[in-house]
Amino acid sequence: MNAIPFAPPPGEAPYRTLRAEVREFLGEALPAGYSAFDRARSWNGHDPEFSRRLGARGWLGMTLPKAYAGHERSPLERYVVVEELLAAGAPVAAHWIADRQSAPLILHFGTEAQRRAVLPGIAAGETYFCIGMSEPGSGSDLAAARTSAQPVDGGYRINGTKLWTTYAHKAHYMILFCRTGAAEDRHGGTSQLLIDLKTPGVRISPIIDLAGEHHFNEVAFEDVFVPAGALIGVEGDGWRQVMSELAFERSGPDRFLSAFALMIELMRVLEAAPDRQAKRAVGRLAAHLMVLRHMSRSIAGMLARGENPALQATIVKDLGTLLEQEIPEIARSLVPAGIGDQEDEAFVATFARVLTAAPSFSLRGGTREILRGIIARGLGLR
Amino acid sequence: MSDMITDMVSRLFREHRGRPTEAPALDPGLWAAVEEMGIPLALVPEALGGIGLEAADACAILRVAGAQAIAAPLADTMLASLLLAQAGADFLSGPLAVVTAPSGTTGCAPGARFRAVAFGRAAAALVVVGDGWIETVPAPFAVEPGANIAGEPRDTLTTTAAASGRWALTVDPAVLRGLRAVLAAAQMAGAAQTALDLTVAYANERVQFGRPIGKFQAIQHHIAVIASEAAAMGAAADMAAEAIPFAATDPDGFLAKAAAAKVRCGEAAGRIAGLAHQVHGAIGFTQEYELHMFTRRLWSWRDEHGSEAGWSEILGERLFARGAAALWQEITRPTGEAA
Ligand SMILES: Cc1cc2nc3c(=O)[nH]c(=O)nc-3n(C[C@H](O)[C@H](O)[C@H](O)COP(=O)(O)OP(=O)(O)OC[C@H]3O[C@@H](n4cnc5c(N)ncnc54)[C@H](O)[C@@H]3O)c2cc1C
Repeated sequence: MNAIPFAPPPGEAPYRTLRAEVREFLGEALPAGYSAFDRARSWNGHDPEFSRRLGARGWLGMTLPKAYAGHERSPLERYVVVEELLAAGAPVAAHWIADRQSAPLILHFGTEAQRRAVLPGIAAGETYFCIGMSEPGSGSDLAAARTSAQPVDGGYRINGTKLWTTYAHKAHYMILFCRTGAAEDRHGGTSQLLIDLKTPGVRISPIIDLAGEHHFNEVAFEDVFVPAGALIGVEGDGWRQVMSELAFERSGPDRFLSAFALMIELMRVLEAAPDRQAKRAVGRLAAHLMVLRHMSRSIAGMLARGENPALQATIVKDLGTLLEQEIPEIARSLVPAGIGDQEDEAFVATFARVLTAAPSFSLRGGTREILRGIIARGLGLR
Repeated sequence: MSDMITDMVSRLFREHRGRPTEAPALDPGLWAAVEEMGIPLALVPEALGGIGLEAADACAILRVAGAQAIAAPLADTMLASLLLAQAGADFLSGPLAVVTAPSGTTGCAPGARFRAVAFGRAAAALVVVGDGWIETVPAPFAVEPGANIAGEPRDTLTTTAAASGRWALTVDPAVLRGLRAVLAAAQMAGAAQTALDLTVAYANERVQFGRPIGKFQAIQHHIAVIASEAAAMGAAADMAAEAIPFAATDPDGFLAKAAAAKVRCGEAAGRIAGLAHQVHGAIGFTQEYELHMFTRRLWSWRDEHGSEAGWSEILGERLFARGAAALWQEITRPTGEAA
């Protein structure tokens, strides 16, 4: 049997109150005039004030221990908050990476001093992180990273360049994946360091995306000194750690709700007189979303039981991004006159936003081809 | 499902796995064992005389049946027993089929004709669902043999006997169709699983250009898609199976899950069948090799009890009726809770 099991997720009843609370909060916390376009930007919507309010409600660092100002809630409770935020298109970019992957990574592998230094700020919605994995010469082939951290007296000296670093320019810290050993030791020669981005020698330069937005960056390190205490986990264990960071990155509902704002807009412009084709298209999309959600809750259940859902998460990401990328195409198919002739400005703007963001869905966090390779390996091929 | 039952059912169905060179036909020995295990009552709640299984267990049994290409009217017989239980009637033994009387008819007289009855030639009785009533009509029937794309009997039956029992029972026709769709989805998920298993095994075994074809990235990616789609089918089938107990109290919520499951499974079925054949090359196109038992069933079942087109329209209509602003609430609404 080659089944990759998705155990039935726990029932929804215990989460009803929490869900209602989050919905109520969103009803009043989103700024007046928060538009469909804003909702479609969700991940790119950087709003520290909003993040702080979430932190104050206890909805960041939810699964962290109380000793680090966390809330010791279950992954399923966290799942409820996260999916409600995404479905509403709330501006989550400021805290997103920190809450999703940096905090659990530091909790698992970090030193006590690192935990005390960053986890309470993450839970408060005040400390933000970026991901230092990709480089000019190393994208899918992450183990080819060349940024080096040379052991020197009292710490490390870092040289190299990280690329595509989302919101580095607004983050406090980076988790840097780098080389501490020989290049020939592809996996064993790597480590992760906690980098305070204010450290001298770190230079962050913007990269503008195809839609004219600035979210990702180039981050150059020139003889940057960090103390030995910056090492996360064990020197030489970088590969194992970064794989577990990626598992956190991939395990959420982020990967199928990126285009949800457009689906709502599409329904809104069609709902006065939906024809058969519109009903079928919307019904089909909803069917996919319902099933993806079921799978995603199953993953949250696995996390709650302490199981490793890496393969399941890979599947949900691949299926989810396929769906997200289809939504703008479906939207077009339901506007026979052509979107160019559509008068509804909110719809057109949301469409343009999702369409132009769509290529990134199956790149970031691991390309479609890399994900399928992981699934094949999980099935015993290779 | 309790491990004991899973083991028993799996063992039985493995022993009776379909054979690729034989047309699907009901084996009386298999049926005797099915009745012995109480499988016909799997869908009946314990309070109504069932054997203590959950609806999800019944679906798990159907999934194993789909995975072994079992030739038997299991879904129809389970459904017929459920209707009899709901009506307060005694259970009937033998393979059963559920059919729907034309609207406006007040009972099932001899000479009534029903199309595409699953394993109709083997049916001991029909459970005829009318408007506010159900009747049981025993064999014999005049049989016009028919088959679906997988060769499974789908016969046209004409009743010869008078009804042997009649009860007042209101069955929402949409819910009945939804139940059939959910049971079909469970079987589809099983067939997809075996299509995946066969494909992985073949890719590891077949050597071309000096290595197993499973080493080629294009093949790996095809198989990764099959695995992902099969996983989605399993999740869709599970999701809908969990909603079965709410079919009567929250028909709207149940139907949303049933529709979603049949749409998702139907869509995956075609994709999986196509890719599984692609990976198998010509051997998969032969009668002798097993793959066709599963791909032909997937092709058949996606077009039985409502296709993607039909169910997506039902789901979409319901979502438009609630409005764009309520879309997320609808997608997240737990079955059995008020909208
Ligand atoms: C919007 C956005 C935000 C991002 N944010 C971050 C961030 O914050 N931090 C960070 O570290 N990175 C970030 N990334 C980078 C992202 O992780 C990489 O783009 C991704 O890993 C792919 O690397 P690449 O772009 O160098 O493409 P490449 O690896 O060069 O791939 C190009 C193509 O070749 C294919 N390919 C490569 N290797 C194989 C193979 N073995 N088999 C088959 N096909 C292959 C790929 O699938 C792809 O189709 C971001 C990217 C985007 C688009």
